[in-house]
Amino acid sequence: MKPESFSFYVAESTQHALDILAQEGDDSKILAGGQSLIPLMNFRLARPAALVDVCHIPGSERITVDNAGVRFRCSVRHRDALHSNEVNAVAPLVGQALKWVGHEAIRSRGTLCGSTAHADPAAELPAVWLALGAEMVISGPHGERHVPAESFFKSFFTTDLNADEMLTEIRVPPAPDPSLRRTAFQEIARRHGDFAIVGAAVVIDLDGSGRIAAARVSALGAGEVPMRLRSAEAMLVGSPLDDQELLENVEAEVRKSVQPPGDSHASARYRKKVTGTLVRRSLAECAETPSTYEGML
Amino acid sequence: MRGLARYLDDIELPRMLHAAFVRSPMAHARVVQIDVEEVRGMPGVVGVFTHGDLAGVGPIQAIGPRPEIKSSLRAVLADGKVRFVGEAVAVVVAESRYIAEDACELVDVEYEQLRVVANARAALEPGAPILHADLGDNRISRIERSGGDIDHAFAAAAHVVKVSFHHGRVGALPLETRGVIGDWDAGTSTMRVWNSSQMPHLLRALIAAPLGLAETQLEVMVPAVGGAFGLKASVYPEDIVVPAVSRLVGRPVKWVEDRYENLAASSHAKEIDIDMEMAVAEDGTFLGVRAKNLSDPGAYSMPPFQAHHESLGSVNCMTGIYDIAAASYVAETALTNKAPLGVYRGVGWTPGQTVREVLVDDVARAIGRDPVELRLQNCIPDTPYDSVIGPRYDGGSYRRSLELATEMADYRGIRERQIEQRNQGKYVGVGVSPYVEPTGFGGRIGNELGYPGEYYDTASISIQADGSIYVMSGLNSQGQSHETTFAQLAADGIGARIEEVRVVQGDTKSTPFSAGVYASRSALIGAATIGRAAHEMKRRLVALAADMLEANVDDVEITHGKAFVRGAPEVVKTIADIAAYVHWGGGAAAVDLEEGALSVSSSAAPGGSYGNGCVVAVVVVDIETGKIQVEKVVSVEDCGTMLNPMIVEGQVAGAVAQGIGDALLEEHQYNEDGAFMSASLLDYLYPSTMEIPDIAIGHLETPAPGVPGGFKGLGEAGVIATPGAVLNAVADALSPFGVRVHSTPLGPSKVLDLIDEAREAMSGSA
Ligand SMILES: Cc1cc2nc3c(=O)[nH]c(=O)nc-3n(C[C@H](O)[C@H](O)[C@H](O)COP(=O)(O)OP(=O)(O)OC[C@H]3O[C@@H](n4cnc5c(N)ncnc54)[C@H](O)[C@@H]3O)c2cc1C
Repeated sequence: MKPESFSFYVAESTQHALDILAQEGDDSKILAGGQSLIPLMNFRLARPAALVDVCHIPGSERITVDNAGVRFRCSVRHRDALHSNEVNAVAPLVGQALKWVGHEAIRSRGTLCGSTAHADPAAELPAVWLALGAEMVISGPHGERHVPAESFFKSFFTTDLNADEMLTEIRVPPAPDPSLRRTAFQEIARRHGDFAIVGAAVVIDLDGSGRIAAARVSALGAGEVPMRLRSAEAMLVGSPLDDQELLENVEAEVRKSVQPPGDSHASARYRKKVTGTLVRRSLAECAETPSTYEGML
Repeated sequence: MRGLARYLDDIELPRMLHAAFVRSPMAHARVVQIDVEEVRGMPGVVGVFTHGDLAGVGPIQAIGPRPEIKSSLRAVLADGKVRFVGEAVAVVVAESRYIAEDACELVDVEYEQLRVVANARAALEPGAPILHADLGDNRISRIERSGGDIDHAFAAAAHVVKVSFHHGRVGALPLETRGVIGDWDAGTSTMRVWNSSQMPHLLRALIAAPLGLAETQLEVMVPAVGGAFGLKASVYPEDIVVPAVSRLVGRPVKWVEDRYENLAASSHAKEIDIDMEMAVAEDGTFLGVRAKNLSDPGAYSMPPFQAHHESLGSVNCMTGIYDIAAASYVAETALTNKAPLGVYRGVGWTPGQTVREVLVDDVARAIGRDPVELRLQNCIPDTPYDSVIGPRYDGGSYRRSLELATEMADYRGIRERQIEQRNQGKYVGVGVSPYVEPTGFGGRIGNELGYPGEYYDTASISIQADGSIYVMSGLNSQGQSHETTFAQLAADGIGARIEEVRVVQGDTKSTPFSAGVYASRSALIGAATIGRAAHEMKRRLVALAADMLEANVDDVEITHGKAFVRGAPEVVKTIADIAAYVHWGGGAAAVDLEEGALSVSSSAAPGGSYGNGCVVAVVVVDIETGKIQVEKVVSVEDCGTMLNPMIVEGQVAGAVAQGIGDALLEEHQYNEDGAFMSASLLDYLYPSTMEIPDIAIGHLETPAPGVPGGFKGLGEAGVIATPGAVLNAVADALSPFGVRVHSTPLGPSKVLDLIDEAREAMSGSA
């Protein structure tokens, strides 16, 4: 289980990374935390001729929180986001989800951008970005472009990124009124720290009277990409959160609307059913408590 | 855990090369041709070898140990045919493992696909492809036995309850994979082999002939081993190929199994279908039990335990702790196109115990009895008991362990709360699994399995001139702390300080013969062999001290490393004084001692003993997601006299964890085409600390009557008994739906299927 030989570059800036990608061509790849790429290389399922390590680009480890929201630069590690009080104050969903990602060792190497670029359909973060309406900042030979999370994930392990481009930043917009925002994340995995079998991320913005003004619900593991569950969202708007019958109807709607695959860990039928259950439970969780990050499991 | 142990992969020899294997991607195929031309010229490649290049090497012979088991051969590299995905086809030797793996990709093997035998049932169907033509068919063993009047028992039964159970294919998964270094010393015609084995002497005996060497030309050394669990107690092709190619290239060659090889191509375990039925009288008395099983041992029989071990082991203790007057079994094994089955902790007994205990719970539900009361009603007495089907238990705490474990788990309290919790939507279940298991595989236990021959082990003790003490044992530790327990046995037996004792193990050249570490042998055999040697050493030290102290032998005492005349402890001779007296002083000449006064070898062949105990599991099942949370495990064990409570508890905890993995997570899967689906740890799921609850351990001690010190083994009990407890707990939690649990592993998807099926069955019958 040894990788094929490859050349290795350490990028000193985003431009430097882009230059190397351009020069090395299609067989080059960005190396972030290596927690997905290196195992693939060891299995020889990935055979990049060149790796460009982007984790030493000055400033790339920065998290910025201001009134434009949260910005995660390209080498922010899972654990840094998980333990950032600033992030947890304004976007607790990130921490709620990250505590499900792997284990301490993986979280201290793996990066948010790496996980996002890798686009495992059962990964937590892509669904989080959908639910938060995040935006991907992509740099390439022709400059920078901004892509909403929803059009970023294309299919299994495939995103809108071209081989000569790099994901330089993930931007999470601010909540209209943080005190009226409720978020929840739930998943089922075979073991703690495994990729999810299925999971759900929910962001609810209430109006002053306690009714749902806006709802964003996304599912992971329920298809070849993380997906927004728009029909469920539509059912929620205008209702109070603690309407039990509504939640059950939403659950049924989710089950109808997803067409997940089956594999050795769970059947398609299972995923369909449990996606509904987890959406209902996430909504119930939002109804019960204002969302805060309650620390590690 | 300070990272200081030296494992096989830490060994670097001068001029050492690295081997990598070309492995079959096909489950069953003829090897038409192997083209290695492209590889030969590669920079860094020193040699590439196929079966044809290894003339006179191999095969591995699986012979005996009973006439019902067909003997078979296995070529060390594919001999014209591959029979499972991962089978070794060729080997490349190169300057680095990287180059060797690059080269493997360029070895061009042409295969002609053959029809695949996907499981043991298919293997027995008429017209099934035959894996080994010389065996005639795929049925490699069929063993029958019965005791008591089984027909009468079933005729007289008020109830007959039956299960058809599938125990999934699991693996031992040691943290350190296997590894071999071969170093041919042409000057002395000696083959030095480092191997991460749990049976250095037996390995030497079994690979000597395939390598064409006398045992005295073969030195097997085992460095620190990072877990084995039975996986390292078989003979594998690499054990022979790596030394053989070292001889061919004239340089040391190292091969360390990678995780893919470990998962795909070393050995799997425990896959078996078992049908079992119980005849029960009106009052709940168990009248008879009948079983028929079929194990799937994969493509080859692996010595020394061969292919039938799972099927025979699973019925060996089929009556468990119950007083049952009649029993019978048919135990079959049929070869398939999968990796061979090895002997993973709790061999055979895991599925056998699981099925019996699941069946007892099914009986309890069927006749409306509490499962613990029903067990107590049918429990054997704590005195020695001859079961009707072979095993002769030598006394234990069969009833008491069940009572204690259920008390510790608060069984009554759980039952009282259970209904109320269900009404609140919380499904809590409790399951019990009392066990009795053979430990310290010795002659008696072997004979009860129908194996001929005795088992014979030796240990030696020698005291150096400074008074420090060597214990030499062929029983090498893979993490079971022999360094502590064996030192303790020697120190106690001699009257020495434990700090002075150093245990030497894992070297066939310096340690005396041992059959190896498996089947919970070490405590019993260690105690018997080291205990005897220590006893003799003490006698000699006392005689020498008496001479030095000018006292009568009967008046001299020795404890904590000091000898003195009873009643006069102020004048002492330390063991160091005595050793110096012997080694330098010539003083020993004055005493009538055997030659080599401070070196003793003792042999022993204890027959073995039956350990027992009981595991209780408490689970919570989320009926919407099928997620099972194991809340609590209680394990009460009776391993006779406890050698060292801390080590006993470590053994219990590790084995319980593996038992939880067996019940809920672990499975090696193949599809119908024989493709291997569990090729990485993304797919083969072992339990992590997050899946293991707190384990409460209770100790009972019923000394083994026929064993010095009264020790019994216990290392396997947790893997044997925990799955039954967990499955029973899940079925108990889901009893409102009428769910019965008849397979492992039990993942969440399967749990929901079981609930749905049971609901459908209920509504169908309503
Ligand atoms: C045992 C284990 C358990 C895990 N469990 C989980 C889990 O439960 N949930 C989960 O979501 N993940 C899990 N992971 C994966 C982990 O989160 C990874 O860190 C993540 O998927 C990839 O991030 P990385 O920084 O390691 O990226 P890398 O492995 O370095 O790269 C992954 C891919 O993304 C590309 N890439 C990386 N950064 C960029 C960039 N800035 N721009 C463009 N392309 C880029 C790389 O070229 C590569 O193709 C687990 C990993 C392991 C080893």
